[in-house]
Amino acid sequence: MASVAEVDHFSHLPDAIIHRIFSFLPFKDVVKTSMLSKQWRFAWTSTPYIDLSLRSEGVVPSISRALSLCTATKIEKFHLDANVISTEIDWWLHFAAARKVEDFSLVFREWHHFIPRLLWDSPWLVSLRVSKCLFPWNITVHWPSLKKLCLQELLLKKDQIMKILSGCPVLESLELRSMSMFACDLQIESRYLRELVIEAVRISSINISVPNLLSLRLWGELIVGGVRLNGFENEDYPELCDFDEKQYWPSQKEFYCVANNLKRVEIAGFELDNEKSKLLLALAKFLLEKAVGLEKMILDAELRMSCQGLPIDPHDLGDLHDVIQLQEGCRRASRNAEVIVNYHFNGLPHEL
Amino acid sequence: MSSSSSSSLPPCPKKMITLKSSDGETFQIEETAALQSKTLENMIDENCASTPIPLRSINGKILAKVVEFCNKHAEVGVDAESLHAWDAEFVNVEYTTLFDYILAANFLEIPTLLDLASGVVGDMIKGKTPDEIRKMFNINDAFSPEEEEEVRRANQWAFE
Repeated sequence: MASVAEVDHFSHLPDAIIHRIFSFLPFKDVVKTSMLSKQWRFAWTSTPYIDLSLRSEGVVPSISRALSLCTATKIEKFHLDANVISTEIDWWLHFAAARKVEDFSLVFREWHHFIPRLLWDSPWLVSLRVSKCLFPWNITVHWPSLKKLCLQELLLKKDQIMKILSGCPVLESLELRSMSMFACDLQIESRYLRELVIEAVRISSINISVPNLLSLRLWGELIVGGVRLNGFENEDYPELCDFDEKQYWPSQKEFYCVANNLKRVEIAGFELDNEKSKLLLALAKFLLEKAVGLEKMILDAELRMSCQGLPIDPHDLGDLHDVIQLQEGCRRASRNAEVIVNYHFNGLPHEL
Repeated sequence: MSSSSSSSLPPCPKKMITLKSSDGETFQIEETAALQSKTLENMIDENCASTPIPLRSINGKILAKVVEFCNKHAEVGVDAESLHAWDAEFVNVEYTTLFDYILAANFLEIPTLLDLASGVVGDMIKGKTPDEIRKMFNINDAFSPEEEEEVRRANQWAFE
């Protein structure tokens, strides 16, 4: 007789729950559950969640075979993280795109791979992340339901980015990470956008017109020219050589995002006493003074190397004074705003 | 604009609903907290929540915990970090209780609780061998050695 403690709960879970558990597992572990019990033998074949990590070419035919046994007509999630490339991967991507995938992630580690054509026009797509993928020059996308877009390690021109963004009318979260964009005057305009992350090199300036923005993260290296937060005026961007913070920020009149909604600001990866840090600290100060709903501002400063190979002491830098001012002395529009300053050296946290 | 006039009025009484477990225990829960359950939300919308709602598949011990979970997640002003820590403690239980949470969350349609508890089960399974998982969850509906070999051969790559 089985006592209460020995009841096999696991073998008798309903399919909906089994699928929910699958949503947290890599595909390999999902397939492995075929061995658990008779009840679970074929459960994996109906999973709508496929999370693949491909580390060697040898398993490609086996994965293709497993995918060909999958019966879900709608794929909720298809994630692929691959450091090898194979022509069969095209079939996998096609498999997911044809099954109305909602959450699609394509991360290639070493190779660039074309984004599948079937995906260009996808009314079902809600979340998309691509890393090291190639977008054709003439790409036109139709992603009317896309809410979350993360583009990582891509080579894109301004026109391509603008075309992609114009195909995503209800986007709520946009991340541009480690991008090489040959773009000047990148314009981001949206009424729906809530979260914006820009960590990119070679953008000369960005123009952000996002009235409902809640969270903004900028990586310092990007800003060569300037950041504008309204986008409704046609003033020229200031040149850094004659950048005058007293003149510049107050000249930006209509700060809808700042006035209403902005809650979190992160500015990372800038060197103190670098020419760009001046502009970024001015931006930070400006946001503190204007953002009425701000809850948290995080500044991640990089310390430069001294001639002895040690991190330069920020106390020797003029900028430290500005940072301390930001933390302690600066006038704030939001009484609850918390300012956190972290120092980094060679990419690692550094205590002063 | 109406803050001065409303402050003189007595506070609006909180709307409560009553849930009844399979073993006859009753629990009071605020309507705002109960709305996290789509099943209860539908009953409230259809005005079926004025009498105690019988939940025949959930016992008193589990229902008490589910009510506690809904109350915590309806609290205002809890920051994400401390809620995360509270959640982690909430699901730090025997696997049998974890499955009870999952079944209750599935029945009541509480997606936050369902995801939380299923995620823990997922983490327990991840990277383990079938033998280890069977032992951990006391799975007794096992294959014969021949069947087992057949299942293994069908997807050899997943077991390597």
